[in-house]
Amino acid sequence: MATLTPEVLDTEEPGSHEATGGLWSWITTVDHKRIGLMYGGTAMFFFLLGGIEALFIRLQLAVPDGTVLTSDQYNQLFTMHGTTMVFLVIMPLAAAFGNYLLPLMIGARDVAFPRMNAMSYWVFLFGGIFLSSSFFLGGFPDGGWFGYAPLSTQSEVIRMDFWAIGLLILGIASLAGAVNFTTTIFTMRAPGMSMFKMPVFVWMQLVVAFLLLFSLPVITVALFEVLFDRNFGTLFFDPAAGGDPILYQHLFWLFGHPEVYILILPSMGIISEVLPVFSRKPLFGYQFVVFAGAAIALLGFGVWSHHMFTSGLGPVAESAFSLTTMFIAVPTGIKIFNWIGTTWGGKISLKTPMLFSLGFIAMFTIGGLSGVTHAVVPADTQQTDTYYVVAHFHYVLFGGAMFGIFAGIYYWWPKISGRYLSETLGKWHFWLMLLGFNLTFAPQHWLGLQGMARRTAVYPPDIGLDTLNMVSTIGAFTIAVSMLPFLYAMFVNSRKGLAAPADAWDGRTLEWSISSPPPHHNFHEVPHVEAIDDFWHQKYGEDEEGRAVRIKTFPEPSRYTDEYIHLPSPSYYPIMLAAGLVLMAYGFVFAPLGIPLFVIGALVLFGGAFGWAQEDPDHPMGDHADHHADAHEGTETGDEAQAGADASGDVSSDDVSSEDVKTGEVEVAADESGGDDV
Amino acid sequence: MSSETAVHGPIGTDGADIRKTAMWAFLGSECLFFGSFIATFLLYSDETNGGPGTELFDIPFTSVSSFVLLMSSLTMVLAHNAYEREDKRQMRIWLVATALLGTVFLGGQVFEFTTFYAEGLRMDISPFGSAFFVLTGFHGAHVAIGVIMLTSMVIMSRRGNLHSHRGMNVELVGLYWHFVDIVWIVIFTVVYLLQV
Amino acid sequence: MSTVETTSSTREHPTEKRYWLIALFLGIVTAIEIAIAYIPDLNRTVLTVGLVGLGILKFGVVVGWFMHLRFENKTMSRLFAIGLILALSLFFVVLATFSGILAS
Ligand code: HEM
Ligand SMILES: [Cu+2]
Repeated sequence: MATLTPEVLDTEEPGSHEATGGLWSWITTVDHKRIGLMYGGTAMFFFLLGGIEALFIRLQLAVPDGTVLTSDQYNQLFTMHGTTMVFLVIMPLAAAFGNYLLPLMIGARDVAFPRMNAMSYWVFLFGGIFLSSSFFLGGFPDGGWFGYAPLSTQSEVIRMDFWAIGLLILGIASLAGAVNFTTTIFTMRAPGMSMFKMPVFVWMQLVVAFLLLFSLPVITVALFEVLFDRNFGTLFFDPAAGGDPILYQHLFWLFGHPEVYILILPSMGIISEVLPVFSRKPLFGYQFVVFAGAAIALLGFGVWSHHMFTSGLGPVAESAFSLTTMFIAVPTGIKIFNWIGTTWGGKISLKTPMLFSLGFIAMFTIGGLSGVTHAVVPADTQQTDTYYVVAHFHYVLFGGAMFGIFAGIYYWWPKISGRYLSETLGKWHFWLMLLGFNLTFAPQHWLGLQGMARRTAVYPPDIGLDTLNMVSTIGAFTIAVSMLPFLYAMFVNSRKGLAAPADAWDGRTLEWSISSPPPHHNFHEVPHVEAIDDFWHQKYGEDEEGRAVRIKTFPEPSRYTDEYIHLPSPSYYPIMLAAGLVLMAYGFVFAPLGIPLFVIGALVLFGGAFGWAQEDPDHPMGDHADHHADAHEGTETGDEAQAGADASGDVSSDDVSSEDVKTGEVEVAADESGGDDV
Repeated sequence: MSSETAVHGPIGTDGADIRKTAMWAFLGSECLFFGSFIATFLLYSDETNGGPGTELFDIPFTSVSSFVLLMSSLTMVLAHNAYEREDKRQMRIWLVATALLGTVFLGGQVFEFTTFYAEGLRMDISPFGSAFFVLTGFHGAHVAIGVIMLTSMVIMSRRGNLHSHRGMNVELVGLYWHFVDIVWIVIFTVVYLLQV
Repeated sequence: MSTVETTSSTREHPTEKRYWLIALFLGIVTAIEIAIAYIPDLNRTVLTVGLVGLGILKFGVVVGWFMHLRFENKTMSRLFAIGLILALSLFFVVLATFSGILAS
């Protein structure tokens, strides 16, 4: 890791993210920006993997009676495609944005728990490798991404062990991340930034963290029960002994539906940042967007059974869940209107981030509408388990979540790297992807309504499914082609890109007030926030007609400062802990042979945890000692949250008491400026 | 500012202890974890599949071990109290006491499990057995982790290595420990007392 | 700065003696619970209500005093409360769908 003394920093090459140190510095890093980048890179790798799996699926389905894959291979591929895209792509990409941006947007120097943050990443990486390695160890999991019992408990081979354990591991990463983000947002905002002055992206990350906190434990239990049924002879889901597979469905979807909002809300946050900037107008109805996000979170916990309409819940339950499902479309619709309202009458600039955001709105609306048709029980009875459902969730997940993520990549890349991504390539990427996406998934609405079942490796000829399937496959390959300009722009062209100033898009939020790429410590001085979009209001005032006029121009901020700024030290315990965990996982899968491995893993894990507990986050020990001139910081050594404690160093008591925490996902309305707590 | 209070962790800009906030978020999450297992148990409380059921429960015995765990919350809070007074010795004594009480509870659980197995209640005999053993077993695992953390803290404190600002401190472990205790309060009521 | 500093300590924490008294109280409640469970032929509803009530009481005392939640700020209590309320309500619904009371 780079030394932080100014002399050294000055010689650092400005374009590089954090300069010196090499591999070890990445392995031990606790810097949220680096962790965010690693999250993003890894997830993008898995995106390509999941994409290749999808291409195989579409090849098989291109013509009737396909022979590209056996049905066993087909089962493996659709299971891993779904599992990969949900758990190894979209969730970690959301975590990548959260990691990189949360501290920058709330004016903090890091997240609340930098080491735990690093651990989340390593656990995610190893969990992803573990899950994917099943390919070489007996085959990918093959019981579907939701692993319905008793199919998942009865298959003889270890594939579904990989699935269950893999998801348990990934759950640990997500849970730690959720605790971290929740705490960061509640306790580390810059002075003056009350909850309702936070950027919408931060709000959405908070809502996602809540959803994770309260839904992950439920799937954890479902997975444990499957695992115990498979390995220890328990009878949770064995109907012959009185067990009930419907319980599994409840537990899975109690997690599963909140999960779909976990996947979409970060992208909603991203486009809520992009649209105002490229319309040069504030977000229309900030409060509504925030409340709608919170409402979605709350309602999102009350609709899970709409995935079980054909499981025989009974008319009362079905009606109730049908109603709640229709209700959840209301806050969703509110957001759509707010985004449209934001662009209305704005000075729209159709740069790539904006294109992807507009694409999001259009595609997501289509997906939302087909979702509402699922809410109608009799209709859903026809639609369920057909390609109509497949079309629905790809419109929300790909047309929605992924488009939002691409918008975010194009939007923040200049901040991250100091260079713009090529607009020409970006536009090729967008238009090809939009075309390919619709070619692939629009026909699936018709296919599904004509009765084509999902998760079936072949369909017979002459029942009218041929043409649309071929179109869909062509679309899938168009999507693959659309990735080429993107990859080219990222990996080849990005070094030659136009240099970006700190404020690359005339932005509104705090991250644009610091240099591109950001200083290692983010802010030379912890900002003091007075309004929503504080940075914008520092730059612009209004003339008599209410038009924005530039009132101030900031000099290009430097990446370096002469001051010593204290940051948490690197640590190798996070990766050690993660390694122990994954060793245990392999050991468990291959028991009894693997038991020694399990024990070794447990020891490594324990050693990591014990070392971690004793490590002083600010006084690096032994071999990873590097840069801290700790003499003058002796008394200030905080813990992981040092950055936050620093930030609060210049809080005046007024600021704090006047804003208390307006917490909770639903109670946000209650604005107690309760000095009594403070 | 965080440095002045030796016995508390760092404070955030909202005036709250940062790590306690995180701990409570985690505990909120744990409510759903145990909630799922308890719901599973309630669903299967009659599914004995011809095997033994709740009639095997030995309420007097479980009452005693419940009482032991309850009292470990007292010793835990006393350890925390000593910690806040910066009375290291007292703190270690109460930490050891807590860990011992936890171990006694675990011993009781081992005894209970072996008795049940001898009497034919196994986790592979019925959904009831599965739900019972897995629920109480996961609770037991939480207690065991707590005992390990308590022991580690005693060791660290003897080495002069226990600092409020590091990964672990008495207050956080205490919160965890009490939580495990209240989960048992629920289990004792719902799984044992209400079923016989 | 001082107002921030005192967040968790402005309100008096219980003293050591208070803790012993609380523990005594918890012990007595547990004894009552066991006694109730042994009353022969006690009406099932009374039994359930009684035991659940006493369980909640113990739960609340440990959370409020031993875990200091009474003395913490609202963020913490809300985080916990949300988890608790969600657990209770969601699993109530799940079990209700199994019980058949929603079936017709
Ligand atoms: C307007 C809001 C929405 C409504 C009313 C809605 C409704 C539904 C319903 C009723 C189903 C079950 C269909 C069936 O299996 O028969 C479903 C499936 C699904 N939805 Fe949505 N949905 C909405 C938004 C979303 C969003 C935003 C996402 C994700 C970002 C999403 C992802 C999914 C997924 C992945 C499935 C399929 C799960 C599977 O069977 O594999 N939905 N939706
Ligand atoms: Cu759903």
